[in-house]
Amino acid sequence: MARPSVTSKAMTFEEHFKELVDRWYEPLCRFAYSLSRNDSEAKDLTQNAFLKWARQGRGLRDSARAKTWLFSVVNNEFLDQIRQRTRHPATELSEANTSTIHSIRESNDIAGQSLDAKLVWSALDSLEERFRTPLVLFYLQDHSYREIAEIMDVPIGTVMSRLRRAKDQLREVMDRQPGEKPTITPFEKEA
Amino acid sequence: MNNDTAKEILSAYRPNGLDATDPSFREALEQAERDPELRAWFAQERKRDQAIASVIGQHPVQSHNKQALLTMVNMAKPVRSKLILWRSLALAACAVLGFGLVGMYYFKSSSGSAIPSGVGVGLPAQLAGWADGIAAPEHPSTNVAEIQAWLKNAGAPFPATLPKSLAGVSPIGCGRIHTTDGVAVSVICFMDQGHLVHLFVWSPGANLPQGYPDHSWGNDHGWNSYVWKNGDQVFALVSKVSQQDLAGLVT
Repeated sequence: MARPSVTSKAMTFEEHFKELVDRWYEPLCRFAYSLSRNDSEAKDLTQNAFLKWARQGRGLRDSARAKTWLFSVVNNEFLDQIRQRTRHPATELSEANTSTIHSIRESNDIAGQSLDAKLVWSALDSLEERFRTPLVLFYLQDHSYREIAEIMDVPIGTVMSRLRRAKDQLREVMDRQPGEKPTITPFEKEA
Repeated sequence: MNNDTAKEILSAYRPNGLDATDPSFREALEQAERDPELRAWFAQERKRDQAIASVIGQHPVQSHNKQALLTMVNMAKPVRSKLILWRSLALAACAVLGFGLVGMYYFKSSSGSAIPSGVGVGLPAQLAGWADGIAAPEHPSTNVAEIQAWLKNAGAPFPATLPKSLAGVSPIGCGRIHTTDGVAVSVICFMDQGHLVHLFVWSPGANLPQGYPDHSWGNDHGWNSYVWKNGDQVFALVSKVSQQDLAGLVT
C-alpha cells in the first residue's frame, strides 16, 4: 500500500504572520510585562518585535526559530531601554522603578498550592534581571533551557545554574513571613 | 551523579512535562525515582513551579492590541481589493472633475490655502477617498511621541494636542496625504477596539470651503467623518465605526 503523501501548502507572508501572532502574542506580551512591569511598555515591546519580524525576520519560516528570535528581540530591546535609562536617569521613570506593588490580586489554587499573584510578581521583582529573565521564560513553559540560552545569548550551563539560584532566591522571598526583613545573600560569582 | 547535580538539572525541567523526552534529563529523572529524598524534593518543586507558572500565564493581555497589530501589517498588503481600487479611482475622478468645474468659485475668496472639498463629491467623499486609499501607514508606530517627531521631521502638520478621548487609543502609524493643491495634510491612524480611525490634520492656516460650518458630520461609502476647526487648524476624524462611537472619540 502506498504511503500517504504529506503535502504542505506554502503559507503566504500574511498567513505566517497571523499564525505567529496568534501563537506568540500573549506569551511574548507576558514576557515583556515581566521585564518592564508595565502593560503599556509590554505592549510596545511586543508590537515592535512583531513589526521587526515583518521587516527583517520574515525569512525565518521555521516557527521554532521565529519564536526564539521574537523573544530575543524583546529581551534585547528591553536591555537597551534599561541602558538608556541608566545613561539618562532623569528622562523617564518607569512603573517598574516607581512601584513594585500592583493592584491585581488573584488567587490561584494549582496542585493544592495557593499563590497570590501580587506575591509572585513582587518576589520576581526582587530578583536581578539576569536571574528573573530565565526564570520567567522557564515559567512561561514555551522554551526549553536550550532555547532560553539562545534567547539570552548565554551558555546552557549558565542558564541551568541561574535557574537553580533564581528559584532558591524566589522561594526564600516568597516563604518569608510578612514584615520580616530580607536577608541579602549575594550570589556567588558565576563561572 | 549526586543529588545536588540532579537538582540543578531538574530545576530546568518544565512543569508541563514538555521535557519528558529530552535525554538530558533522563539520568536525573531516574535518580529521582530511586532516591526518596530527591523524589520528595522534585515533587514539591513541580507543585511550586506549576503554581507560579499559572500566575504568570494568567497575566491578562488585551486582545485588541493583538488585532491592531494584525491589521497594521495586513494593511501593508501590496495588492488592494478591486472594489477599493475602483472606488478610490471613481472618487478621485469625481473630485478632480468637480474641483475643476467649480472649485475656484468656492476658494477664490479665501485668504489662506483652502481645503479641497471635492465639490460635487463633497468633503465627506474626499475624506472617504483618502481613508480608502490608505493601504498602510507610511510610518508604522505605536508611539504618539515618535509619530509626532516623524511628522515634524517630515515637515507635516501635527496637532499640538489630541482630543482627550483619542489620547487613550492605540496609534498604529502616520503618513502624509498628497493633495492636488499642495496643502499639507497628515494622517494619524489609530486602532480602536478593532476598528481603524484616521485623524486628518491640515497645516495651520488652511481654510474650510466657504460656507462650511466649523463643526460638521458627514458620511460617504460607510466612512463616517467629523470635521472641526480648532484655532487656525482643521481636523477630520474618519472611521467606519458608528457616528455615536466616533463622537465618543472627539470629546
